[in-house]
Amino acid sequence: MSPRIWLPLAALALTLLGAVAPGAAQGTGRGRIGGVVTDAATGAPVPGAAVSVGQLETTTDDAGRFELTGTDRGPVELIVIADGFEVGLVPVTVGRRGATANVTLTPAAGAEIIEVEGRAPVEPEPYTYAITGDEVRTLPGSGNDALKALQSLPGVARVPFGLGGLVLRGASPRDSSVYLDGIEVPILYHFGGLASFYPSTLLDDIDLQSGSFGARWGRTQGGVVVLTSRPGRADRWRVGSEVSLIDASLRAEGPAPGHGAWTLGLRRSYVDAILAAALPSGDGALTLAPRYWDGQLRYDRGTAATGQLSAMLFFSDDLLRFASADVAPADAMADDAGLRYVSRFARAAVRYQRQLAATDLSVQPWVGLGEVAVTLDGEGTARRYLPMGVRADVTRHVGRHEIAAGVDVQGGRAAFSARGQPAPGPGVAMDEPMEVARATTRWDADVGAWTEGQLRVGPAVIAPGLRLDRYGLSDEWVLDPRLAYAQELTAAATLRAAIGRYHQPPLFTDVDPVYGNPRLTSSAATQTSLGVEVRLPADATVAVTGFASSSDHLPVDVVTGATPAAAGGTSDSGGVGSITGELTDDQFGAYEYRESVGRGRSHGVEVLVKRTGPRWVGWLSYTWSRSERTGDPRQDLGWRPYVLDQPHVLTALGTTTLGRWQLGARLRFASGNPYTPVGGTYYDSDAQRYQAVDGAILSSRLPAFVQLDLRVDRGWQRPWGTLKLFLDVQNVTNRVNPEGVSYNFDYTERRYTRGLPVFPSLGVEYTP
Amino acid sequence: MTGRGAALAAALAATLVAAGCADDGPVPSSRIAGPRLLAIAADPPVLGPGGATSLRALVVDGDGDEVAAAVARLTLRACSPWRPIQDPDRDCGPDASLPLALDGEVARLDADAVLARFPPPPDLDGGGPIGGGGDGGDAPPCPAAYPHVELAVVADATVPGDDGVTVRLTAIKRLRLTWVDDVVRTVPRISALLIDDVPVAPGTSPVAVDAGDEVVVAVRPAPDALDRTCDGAQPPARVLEPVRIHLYATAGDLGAASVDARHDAADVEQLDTTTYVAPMAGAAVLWAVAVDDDGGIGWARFDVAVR
Repeated sequence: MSPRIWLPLAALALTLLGAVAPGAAQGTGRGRIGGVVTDAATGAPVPGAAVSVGQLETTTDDAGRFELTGTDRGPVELIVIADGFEVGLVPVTVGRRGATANVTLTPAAGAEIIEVEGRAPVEPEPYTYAITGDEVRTLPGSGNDALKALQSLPGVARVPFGLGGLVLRGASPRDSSVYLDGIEVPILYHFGGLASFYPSTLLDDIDLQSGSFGARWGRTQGGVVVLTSRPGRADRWRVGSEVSLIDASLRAEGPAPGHGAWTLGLRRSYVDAILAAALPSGDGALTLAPRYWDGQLRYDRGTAATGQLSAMLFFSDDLLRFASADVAPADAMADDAGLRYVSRFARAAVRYQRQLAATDLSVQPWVGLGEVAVTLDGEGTARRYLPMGVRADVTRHVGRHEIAAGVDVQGGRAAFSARGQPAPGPGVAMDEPMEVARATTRWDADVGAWTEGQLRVGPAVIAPGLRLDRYGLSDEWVLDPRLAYAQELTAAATLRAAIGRYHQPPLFTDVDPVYGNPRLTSSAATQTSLGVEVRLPADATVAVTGFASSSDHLPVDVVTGATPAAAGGTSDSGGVGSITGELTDDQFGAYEYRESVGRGRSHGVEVLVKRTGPRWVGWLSYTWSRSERTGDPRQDLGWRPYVLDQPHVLTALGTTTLGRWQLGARLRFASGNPYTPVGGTYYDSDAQRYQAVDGAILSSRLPAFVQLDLRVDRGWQRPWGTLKLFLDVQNVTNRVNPEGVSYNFDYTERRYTRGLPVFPSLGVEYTP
Repeated sequence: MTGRGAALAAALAATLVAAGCADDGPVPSSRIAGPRLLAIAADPPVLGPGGATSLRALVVDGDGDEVAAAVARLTLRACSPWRPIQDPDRDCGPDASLPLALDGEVARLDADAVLARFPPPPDLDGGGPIGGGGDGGDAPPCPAAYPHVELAVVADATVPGDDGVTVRLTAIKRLRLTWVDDVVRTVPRISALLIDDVPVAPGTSPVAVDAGDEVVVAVRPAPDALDRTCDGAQPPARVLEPVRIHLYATAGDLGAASVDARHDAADVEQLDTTTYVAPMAGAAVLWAVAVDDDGGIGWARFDVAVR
């Protein structure tokens, strides 16, 4: 039986029947509480004290330190019991970053004095938007997908057609990076947007830093998304599953040798089977066969206090074929039949973390594989790479201060083969027909070292940072100073500011001597931000952040630098072609002769208002921003809107629980993307067709995007777990949102290219 | 196809399939529904040193009738061969062009006049920015590539539309300007339209077709108006050059907007066919515009009567 049959059947069976397992239902188990227990009378640490939260229990070490992982989030009660001391009952609020609870116990005789610091200290980073794994699975419009849920946050532009790609504060998708447990991920989505590469059920946190991030992250001039996977629960084995309209997944977690925990996950799409059955066959019909796999394996043991070891393996595999139905089925699957696209990668890493008195240590070497290939009847472009790296950092706590340093090395072997028209450039005319076959292999490495401090002065935290990188591809040394500042204005308000320099190396294909420019250098941006976060009563938060960024040495196609094709959108495509180019640049490469002469600038304000109630969550996210670019200054001096410049992006979102039902709605409004209008036409006598003359570059804007998404969840809680049925409908009103412009043959009639229609996502999820 | 092109093709294909493909719209490009400037012909299509060429334009009204140059207020101008012409108004305006005087329906363009108006840039080498080496002659066994630049000619016409609104039409023809002697190229000529394998010469009496009837259509170029070239076989064989014929109709439906005509090494013709569905009543005018690989253009008119 083909895997594409048994996997969804198995997942469906498990989902519907449930895996029977003993034991009471557990909490969310994603919080952490750490601290020190001391004697109120002497100040000495209290070793051997029993510290518990719910079912979780530990004892303090010789230094009185303790750590509990796997607690619930939100308000919990910490119980501390030690011989000779009064029992300590401490209310603690466990946030996204955990909580620190330093407990002072009073000797048994005498008044009880408990001094508690139950709130996490202010962090100096600029405001970081966070989504928990639980929130992801209830947010309407994201289809249970973690990375798509990010589009509901401020500073994130809307990408047409629901495609993947992150546009953070007007930066190109290639200018932002996504890290999973410290490892940079090359491809975020299956097929550009169907589903993200990592299932949400295995994620603990998703942190979005749209800009002004610290020195530990480099090689990126936009923003970073930091995904944190969760360790498995080690008390007993659990098997869960999810079945939706397009894919099915299985996951399992349980005890492992050495008091450790296993986490396993596997997901496979079956869109190919559905389309094969649905699409007509016959002369000239196309066979469309997309399918994706992803898998995860993780082992954890130990604690940070005793030495925590994590080993992880994850992979993603996409394959898409377009083949004519005239070709025999066996031949249609051959590598040289029709249009074939493959994108796959795998990463394996081992991480060791240890807390040694006042020092935290983390070391993580990793290795990977990857391939991206697009071929037509066996000819095209293929890239295969063997990346590897190591990330190591040490943090020293000195009183209330902190200093950290680390190294971040990433490199490996890349092999590239291509056959086709080389990029027009010096020595290669634009219309000179030429086909070049090229294959090359190259070893390179980027080495980064960084240091960062946190100096707490009264209510303020100053975090200077410095990062030094060497880029192997462009043979450059770059130095990036960064500075962040945070201050508690009041107990409920925090001011945050940051400024920094961010460099980014060119891509492998950018510097190819035939298909690119080997003299291309890195690009860079100077980013600033200033914001205020106010925590209001009734679990409400308001965060307002202003930002500005100026980038330079951007790679620009200087052969057609002043023309619409390079500026971002010809009249023929209505901008869709250039947007597609932006989304695929990082993965496929541009194959253009570029020079580092472009500039960019963006500025704006982000507002997030969020309130959480006992049975509901609501937030309002608004971003006003402008993002612009220049082309080759030798040909064109003007600033133009970036192809994904959206001055207004507003998201209103809410979910509520009514009994066993959970209802959610999301309303999105976004400015239309800019496009280049038709300024005139002429008839090409030799080609015998009309040609459009572009108007002012990117001077027109598509109508605004408005979409309403609804989500309904129904859960059944049983002793053996939770069964949930969900229906997530995007664009429930089936509104026609223009995503591009198309014309008739003589450009006298214009039509809008319609975006995605109503799109339901139906699924069943079992969580033990 | 470069990786970039393939990647974009795949991405655009997927998005367009999902979103709905753009097409001609309700009126196909082969339909003559109003004034059109269908073609500009240059005879010869390749301009050598000291050479000259004759230019004429095909302007038709909504009924398919040719409009005289004077009536269409046709103007022709030559552009600089040393810069790309992407916008005729911007790149070949009055200050950057060489006006061509019309004598009746024909304008004459001299290579010397072009080079006098647009002197070559000082960094132009003997090979030219386009093309490779070769003496350009019909040296056996195959004609060699000849170095050349593209010389654009812009035609503007102002034609009254059916609803009384004046329509401005602009077209560009790109001739080849070479500095190699003896590059001789002909202009294709259409000898017949085949309707269900029955040849119809241009300018003859209307062809009678049943209303709504679907007929098979092909176009035959005159062999004596075709240059010799080589096919792609190994070893190459000398054959008559292939020609693409673009079809236009004032009424009825054409299956394809263009058909190809080829000849094998024995000069046996191989004509692609398409279909034509006659209108339910009245008459129709069909125009066929033939274009060869050297930019040679020729056209012919055929009338269809519906019975």
